[in-house]
Amino acid sequence: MRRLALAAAVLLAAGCGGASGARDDGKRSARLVDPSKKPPYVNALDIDPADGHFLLTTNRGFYRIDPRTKAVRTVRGEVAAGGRRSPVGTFLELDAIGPRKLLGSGHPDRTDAGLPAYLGFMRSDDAGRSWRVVSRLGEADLHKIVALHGRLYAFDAVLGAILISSDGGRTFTERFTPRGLVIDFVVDPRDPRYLLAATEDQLFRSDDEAATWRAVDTGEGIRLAWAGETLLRADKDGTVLRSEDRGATFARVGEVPGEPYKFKSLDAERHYLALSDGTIVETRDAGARWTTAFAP
Amino acid sequence: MIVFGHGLVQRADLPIPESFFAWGSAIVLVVSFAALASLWPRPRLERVDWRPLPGGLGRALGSRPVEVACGALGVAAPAVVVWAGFAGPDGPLDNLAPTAILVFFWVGFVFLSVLFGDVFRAVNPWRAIGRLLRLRGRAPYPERLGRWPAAAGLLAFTWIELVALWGEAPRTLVGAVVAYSLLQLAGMARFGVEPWISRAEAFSVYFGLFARLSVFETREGVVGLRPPLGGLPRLEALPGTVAVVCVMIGSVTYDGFSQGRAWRDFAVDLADGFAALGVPLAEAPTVAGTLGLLLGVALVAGFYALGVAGARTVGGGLDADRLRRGFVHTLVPIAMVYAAAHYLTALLFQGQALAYLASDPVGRGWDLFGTASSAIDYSVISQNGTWYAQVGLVVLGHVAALVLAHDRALVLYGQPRLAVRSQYWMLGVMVGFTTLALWLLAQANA
Repeated sequence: MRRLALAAAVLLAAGCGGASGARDDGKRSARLVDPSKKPPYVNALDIDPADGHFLLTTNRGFYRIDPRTKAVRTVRGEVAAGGRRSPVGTFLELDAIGPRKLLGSGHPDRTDAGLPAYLGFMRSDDAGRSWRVVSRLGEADLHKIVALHGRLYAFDAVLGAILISSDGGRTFTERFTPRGLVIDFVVDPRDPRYLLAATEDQLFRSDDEAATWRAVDTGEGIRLAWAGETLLRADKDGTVLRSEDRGATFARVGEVPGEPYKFKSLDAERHYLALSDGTIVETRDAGARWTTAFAP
Repeated sequence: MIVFGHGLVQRADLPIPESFFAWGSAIVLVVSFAALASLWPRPRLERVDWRPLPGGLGRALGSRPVEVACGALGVAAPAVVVWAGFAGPDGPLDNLAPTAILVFFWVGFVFLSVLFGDVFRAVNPWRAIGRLLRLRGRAPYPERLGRWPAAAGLLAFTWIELVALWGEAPRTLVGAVVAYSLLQLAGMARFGVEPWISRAEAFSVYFGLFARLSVFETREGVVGLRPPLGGLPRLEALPGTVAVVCVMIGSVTYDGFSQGRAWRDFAVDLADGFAALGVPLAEAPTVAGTLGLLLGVALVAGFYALGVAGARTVGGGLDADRLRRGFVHTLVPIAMVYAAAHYLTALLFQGQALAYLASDPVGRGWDLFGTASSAIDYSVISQNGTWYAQVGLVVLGHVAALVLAHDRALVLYGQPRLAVRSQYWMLGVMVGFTTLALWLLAQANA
């Protein structure tokens, strides 16, 4: 698998990315992300049901984007825990569960604020302006949070585990994941026990609520979306694939103009995808055709 | 594995920084060295007590029926794996062969050998077939060949595993197994079963060296007990033995190093350079990887040569060749802990895949053992638990190497004072190997 990565890198370095290379035209915007830093560049994409604005978090900060006017506003959030406070926004994971109501996790922007590096599981009821820690302060770094089936599922990069909560995030059951950072995961909308998780170079499935896993495919930088009948996968080179058999096999259906980072699904047909420079592309036909919804 | 963690390590916070483990390990070695210098004035490991397992158990385990059963199993299991490799699914994740060969066989037998002695000799398929065919050989095995064929075989296997990545191409992988088997049959037909198996057959030599760390040893068909490490001082340093051990350690060194960002970046430049020189683009990464593997082996050989050259400076009238062959057995525990620490999680995690792969070996929907729907439980060891086990293994292995080297120095030099002085250099080599091992593990784990 490492050789695959190396071979791909060599092809790109030699200027021969061709059909398999990411369609990066070298004009990536640095407005919302800092491409000079190590990845990840984009940490979360969601939509606030209150006004339909995109919520985008990157390695530069937390942005609220009006999809109609394309206006971008920086959200200056603050986290409070144990009598200490810090700005928060860069490298922030978030999941919108209602109008202005967000779940999140991340790191304090000020390292001298006296807060631990891992903020654990947090909640905001004012669209990200203020955050309070619910649990696991100093213990968890949740890279993705999914609210589904009346539960919370989250990948904790500190433990290397999927955390599952049935009480709103106060307590979690820990389920260890395959070694290597899980960069994305999805839960079957019809089966709370069935999950797919992607590491940097492999795709795994679990049919027992993340207790055990089996590798089902290889692929670089796989990102996932599952809404209704549609299971989508976007690979690092921008290829978009769809599965009709719960992830056992995938067929290519389209492509996006950059490196995929974060999906946001509205229904089986409509999905948004944030690319590495903060561009947000949109499909209305379950991944076949993509148009730009926002360009930084 | 590509690092993808915005500067934060994936592993849970350790109670102390990683660098402290390197310092702590180095201190353990220095303290061990001092303790050996003052408390171990006479050689103790050169003559080893051996006694059979009690109650007739040793004789039963070494009996002819057990030998025949092990031989039959040793031929049947690889035959199924080769069949599965050719007839099973194309993908490496669904085919039994890569996991059976690269995890269960290559890694599993390292642990089995250390724990239970030379079990591979009992199930060695080539030995069993050679004996069944009564291959007696037509010529004596050339002394100058020594273990060089085994060194070449191991280098070829590690190239297949780490550079060519035939683990991702099951048919190619089992094709190599068939080719290797034919080579072994030819070797046994020419030189006889035992001379060829004990010196030239790569895996017999490889697992046999690890088995010398075990407390179990078979003598004349009886399984018995000996003290830990007792098998190593009696290792006959045939030509090629140093090369075998350098390949053992050097290949793991390359594997660890190649998982770090430094090598990945360098390898891309290197492959680019080869491509510019006319090497086909598709082959350039393989050429770069081959060079990396050879550099890993050369690094270990050079490090050992440095220790030997240093030991020569203390006097005693020992030439380099005698020192090189005299201390080569001390590298075996290091090779063991390099392999064990590096591949521990592969065995614990991917090894579980055998349950479902073996239950449906050719991917036809069978469920021979009722485990076809099982999966891998990654909670069998935590990430921190893995790190502690790895560090523990590395330190233990290097202390064992120091003990062996000190004991051998007492024999070679005859004077405790000279022996200790010679071991300052060996201590430097051990600290170097320990630091390298921990750094490589940190690279792989980060």
